[in-house]
Amino acid sequence: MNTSFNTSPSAPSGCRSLSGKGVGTLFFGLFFLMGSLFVFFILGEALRQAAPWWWPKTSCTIISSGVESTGEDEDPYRPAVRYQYQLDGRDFEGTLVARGDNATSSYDRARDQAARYVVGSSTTCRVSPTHPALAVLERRIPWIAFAVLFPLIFVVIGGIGLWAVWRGSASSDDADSQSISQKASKGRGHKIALVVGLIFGVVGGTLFLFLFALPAVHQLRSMGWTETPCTIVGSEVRSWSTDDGTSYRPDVLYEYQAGGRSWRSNRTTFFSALSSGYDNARDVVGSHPDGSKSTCWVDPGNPGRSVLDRDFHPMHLLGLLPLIFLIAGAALSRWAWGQMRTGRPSEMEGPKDEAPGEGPLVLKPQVSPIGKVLGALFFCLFWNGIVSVFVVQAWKGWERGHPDWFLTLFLVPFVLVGLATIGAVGYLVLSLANPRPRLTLDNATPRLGDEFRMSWRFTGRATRIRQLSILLEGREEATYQRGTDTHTDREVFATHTLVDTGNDWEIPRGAATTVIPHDTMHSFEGNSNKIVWEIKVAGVIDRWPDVSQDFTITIRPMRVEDL
Amino acid sequence: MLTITTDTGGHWFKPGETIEGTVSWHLDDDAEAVEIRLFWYTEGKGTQDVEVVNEKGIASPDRAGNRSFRFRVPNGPYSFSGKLITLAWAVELVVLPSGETERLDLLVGPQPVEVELG
Amino acid sequence: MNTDIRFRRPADNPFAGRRIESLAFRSPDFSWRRLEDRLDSLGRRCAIVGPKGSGKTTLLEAIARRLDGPVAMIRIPGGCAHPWRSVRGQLPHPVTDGHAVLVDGCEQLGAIGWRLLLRATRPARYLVATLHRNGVLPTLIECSTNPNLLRELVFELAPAETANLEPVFDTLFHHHDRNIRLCFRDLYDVFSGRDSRLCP
Repeated sequence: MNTSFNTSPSAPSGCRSLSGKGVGTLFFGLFFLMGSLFVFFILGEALRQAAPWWWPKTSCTIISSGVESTGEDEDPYRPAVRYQYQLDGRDFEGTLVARGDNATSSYDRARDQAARYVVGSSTTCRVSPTHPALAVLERRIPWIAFAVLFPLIFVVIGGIGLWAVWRGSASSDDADSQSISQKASKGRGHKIALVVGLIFGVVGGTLFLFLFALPAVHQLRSMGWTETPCTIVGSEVRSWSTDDGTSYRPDVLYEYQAGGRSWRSNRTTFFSALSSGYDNARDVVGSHPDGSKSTCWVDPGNPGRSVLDRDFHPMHLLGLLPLIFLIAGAALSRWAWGQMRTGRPSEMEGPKDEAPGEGPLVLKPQVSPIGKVLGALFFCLFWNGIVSVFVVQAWKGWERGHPDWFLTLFLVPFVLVGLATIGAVGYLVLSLANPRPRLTLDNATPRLGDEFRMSWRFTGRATRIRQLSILLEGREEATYQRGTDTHTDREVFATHTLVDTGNDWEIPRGAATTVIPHDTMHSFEGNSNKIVWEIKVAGVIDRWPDVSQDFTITIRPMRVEDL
Repeated sequence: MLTITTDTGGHWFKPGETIEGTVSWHLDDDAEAVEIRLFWYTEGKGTQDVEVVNEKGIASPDRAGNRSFRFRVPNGPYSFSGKLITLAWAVELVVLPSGETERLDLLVGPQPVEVELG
Repeated sequence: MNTDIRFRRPADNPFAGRRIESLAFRSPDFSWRRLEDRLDSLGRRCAIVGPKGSGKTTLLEAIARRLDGPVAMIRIPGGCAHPWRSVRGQLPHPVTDGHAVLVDGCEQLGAIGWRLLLRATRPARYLVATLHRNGVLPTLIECSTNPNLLRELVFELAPAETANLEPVFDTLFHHHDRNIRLCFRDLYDVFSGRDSRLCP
């Protein structure tokens, strides 16, 4: 019988069959191979683009300079510059501005690139030492190298997967010899969260910058530009295939006069990076047909910069979406960083005393009165909503004279619970009118052994309180699984009475001092186990819900110097 | 065979003090790494919590060797026992990937006894 | 019962969480060989059935440790408002024929949840679920408890105290409706000094 159980009770529990390793190797190996292939190609292209950095330079003369059409819809324009140079007594003619793809969707960019090379002027070009016919005018930074980050993710995933499949595994059936520290996962989880958060943040931030922030800045600046008449010399919807279908963009080429010369541009809007869809592209092209007259806005300080439409459209708000990733990524990174920094000094660092700052602190209650009411109300509505469906059914049976006794009796306990929840909501609503305690600690984070001074003040009608007690309580909290349920047990280990009075002049406001014992335990929080210190305020009000609020405080360990 | 010893021979350390000691190992097989970890853990009624506070790793160790370690003890948490939770400190020497372990229990706190609650 | 059970440190308490979790699954006439054969004969899609606290989770975790290859251990928390969503969030994506999927707490799944679970785990080489009673999947094993099992487990955890606890085993066992896990929680409280109700 083919089974992949480990039948030997003493064999390592992590033993893996050959078939399991084979599947894992195939799966992760594919990731690794494909990622490596793309890394190889991208790095190869980057090296190719960067090669002119090491080519010798020679002088050349510009023969012609302008913009040409590439015949492609995605990037229809390219700077077209021809130049002549001599090498070893031979004449050569070059056409490359730089290595890599010089085509662009922006007429302005192609035009500005070509404009750097004036016909008849002399400049320098870089010539390949192995192929003298190959030359470039410019050396560019191979930005394509950064694209290697994407396939690198696959290489890393594949590599980690292969390592995990083929490494041996920790094992021991003897519980006593098992490592306890191996069970700690907090740090590793937080490191992963930090990396994920950073990736989200960087990607979100970059997208937000290019899709909204920069275009918005340009748009605002264009408010000071000059209105200028222009003629549409070309207008069409460009379309090209992408991984997820077809993309569209309106390409409206217009001509205008500024600064004593003629200019051409195809910048219809600053928010061109946002995909417009066919309908919008068609509308833009339709409103600027070939040969028609229109108006553009020209930068008075740089006549070559212009835009056809500088209005803000609701669609531009799509550029705000990456903010979600930026904010989420930043929040996740911040949280993960905070968790990693807590209690993890390096081997030689001193103990960190993570005091948020000592000084007075106004305490917030664990659960606000409104929170209690809303919580109870939600449960009450939920419970009674469901029960009422069956109560109505049972009632109709009684009305018809054919009562369903089983249903009626079955509903009794549920109805009783429902009535109790209604009562609880009523009680809590009444308690909203109660005087509210406001507690202030002289020291925001007292330490073991410190004098602990707390003052209180009631808002509302404190004179209704007949008896006031304020306790400082320390307790253990241990959470465990009960089957699939989670349960928390609590055990109070310390109770210090700060206030216990029935005198009406002492109740509305006052202060109390105590000394926190030095031989007890400070506040502590693990995933499942905690030491919690609380100030519990209880005020008895006759014939009315009592005042009852708890405030969690943090008691820190003693100062190292005091030990 | 794995051993852990502290230079002073003691097991009680105050917060802020430095734990200095030596680990040694004699392994039957090659190991990818050995790690020395200072950590605290809980035991009791609740699910166990563990946090590694400091660690030092030795990659591709010889089958037999020894290494010294120095860890600064943080401010807390103190070793304590209540009715639901015991929190204890230890230094562990762990061989990877086999998981062979040796542990030296320690006590961290202002006094040479664990804090007793209740 | 002898009232001289000393207060114990939680770490020394024989019924501390770690010690309970390390107890091996046991049942009369249980053998791994027979279990594995039955698992294969049921097409590797079956359920561990039994009431609360009868060892279903313990057995499921033991099966997980013995399986080769990737194991997806899924827990549906008690009282979960959306059990299928909880399962879906824990399932590997995608589920491949290399995966063994073990799901604890399936009694909370409704008919639609079951249908979705079976469809999602169709490629998996194993699907083992825990249930309170027989149902959608064929039964691999029925877990049950009895006072002798409680005695046996208590003897393993606290051999010196078992005799002291003898008078309370039956009461405890039936008070918690045969749920051995809850019996352990009460015994923890006895040994910690939190609960003296079991003491005469």
